[in-house]
Amino acid sequence: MSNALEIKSLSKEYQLSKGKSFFALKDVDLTLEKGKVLGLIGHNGAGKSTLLKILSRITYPSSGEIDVYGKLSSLLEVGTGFHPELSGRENIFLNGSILGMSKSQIKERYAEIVAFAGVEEFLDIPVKRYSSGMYVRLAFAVAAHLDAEVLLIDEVLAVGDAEFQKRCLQRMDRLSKEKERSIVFVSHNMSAIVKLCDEVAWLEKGKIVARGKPQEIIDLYLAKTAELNRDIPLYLRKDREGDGRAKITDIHINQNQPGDLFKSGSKLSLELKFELLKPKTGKFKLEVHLFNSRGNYLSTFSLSNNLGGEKQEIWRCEVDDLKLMPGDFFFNVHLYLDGQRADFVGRAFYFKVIDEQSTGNEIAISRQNPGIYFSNRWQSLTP
Amino acid sequence: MAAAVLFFLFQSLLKVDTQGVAFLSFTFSGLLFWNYFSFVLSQSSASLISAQSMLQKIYFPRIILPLSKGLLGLIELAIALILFLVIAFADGQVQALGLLSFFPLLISTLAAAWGLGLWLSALSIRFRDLQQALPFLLQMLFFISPIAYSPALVQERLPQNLQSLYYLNPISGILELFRAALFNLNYHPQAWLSIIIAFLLFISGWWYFHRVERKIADLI
Repeated sequence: MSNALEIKSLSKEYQLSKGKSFFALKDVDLTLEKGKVLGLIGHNGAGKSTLLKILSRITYPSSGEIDVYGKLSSLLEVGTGFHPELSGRENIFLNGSILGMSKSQIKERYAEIVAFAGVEEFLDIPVKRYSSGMYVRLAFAVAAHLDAEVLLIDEVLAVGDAEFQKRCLQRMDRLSKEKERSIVFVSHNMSAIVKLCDEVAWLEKGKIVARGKPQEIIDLYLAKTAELNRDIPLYLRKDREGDGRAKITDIHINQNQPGDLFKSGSKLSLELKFELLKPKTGKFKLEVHLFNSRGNYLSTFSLSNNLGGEKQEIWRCEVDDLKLMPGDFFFNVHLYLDGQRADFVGRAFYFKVIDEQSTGNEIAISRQNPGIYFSNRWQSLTP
Repeated sequence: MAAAVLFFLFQSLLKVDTQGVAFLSFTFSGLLFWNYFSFVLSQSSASLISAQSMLQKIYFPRIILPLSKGLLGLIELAIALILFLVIAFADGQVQALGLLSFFPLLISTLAAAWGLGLWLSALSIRFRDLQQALPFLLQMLFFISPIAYSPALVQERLPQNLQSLYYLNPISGILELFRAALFNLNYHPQAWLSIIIAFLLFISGWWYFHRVERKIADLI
């Protein structure tokens, strides 16, 4: 099997100020076989996007070596190299000719691109007037239909609806399996990575921490992520999103059990505190999302109410006989004020479900992918 | 429009010397090159900053951006050239054969505009204020270039040993040579210096652009 991509001890150093520098990438070695899909995972600022930028020759490495075998097309962040003043049609031809395709070659793909992006009616207006959804759809369609042997895709799935995301994944899958195209795919969407990639590399602080089979690396990554934030009290956590008008300061389950253990089938009593930057009245909405340790979404508990004008609000949520399979779970918490998201904390609270009656089925346990337990009864109808 | 203002200012008020050529033919011959020069220069020096979003998303030889503006300016130039020919032949002082000098001198103008444009576009990545300064620079250059007046006006006031300084401005020499060929006039022997300067600007601009090319996406 020949390689599509070879990276040898690649480093990228940025000068911050005199004498100070920052390594966005340090001694990265990677190879990608032809026709394979490589997933890149890692936290924000781990160097994933820098790596793709270097591969696509937008920026240059400080040291190291890259060999790309074949033409390379990229879709970095949102939107490819579109010229905002040019129309959709012109941009398709522009991108094609940058890849070295002739006009007639592009014309052959043209119909396919337009159909995939679903922007037929808007082809003659400048792309600067496109909605962000249209923009990214066209950008992906162009990158995925032009003649490139190596395709770099950075977080396209962050924009676009579920239907389009699905089509993107299918298209990439077909490209690699049927046409032997090689793809480097960056995403925070772990289930997409597992579905699509043949191999995953985990980048952290500019270095490759681990590399291997998708599921194994993702499990390692998620476990590490969990550990990092687990020991920080919630009110000190900085990894928040939202406009900051309020802050979720505490969440815990009030349980007779020691620690953060929850007995499946018992009553879950969840206590939440949040603080407002300025006491005010108005509407608020709390959403608590339940996930299992794999990061799969299970359910939501939500509350809409009016603020009382106090600085701090404390609420309790009770769920009667919550039946979960044994394993680890966590909550993400969203807080909205007047319809705008004021705060969000991912993985705000972890708990472990134990089960004295052994309700968990073996499949969930062996896959370490626990879900909700439904009581079920069987009876024989065999005559 | 510009010609009307210049006519009023230089011809009616100041009654400047135009080397015995009809004012309109004379000034138009200057504007022809000047407009092209200033268009290519201002467009190409802004070309990197205005294509910022593309530069950060896709690879292509960066130098295409400033250089392509030279082609863009040709459309306007072609229209201006037709207008100029009409006026010049109406004034009836044109040597038809002298028109051939238009092409080599146009290339020299382009070399000067590209050269400066490459320098400025590459420098303006680090020093964005250059974009604000450019209009002033162009305006200054417009008035020190012999567009609506005879170069002799300046030369008379310069001491003998500093005369060549005037031709450090590539536009000065290019215009003088063009008019010399077109209207059968004398020209200063050092006017050729302008042509050399134009190509030196181009070569050095090309060199500098390639030197910083790799850092463009990081710095912009």
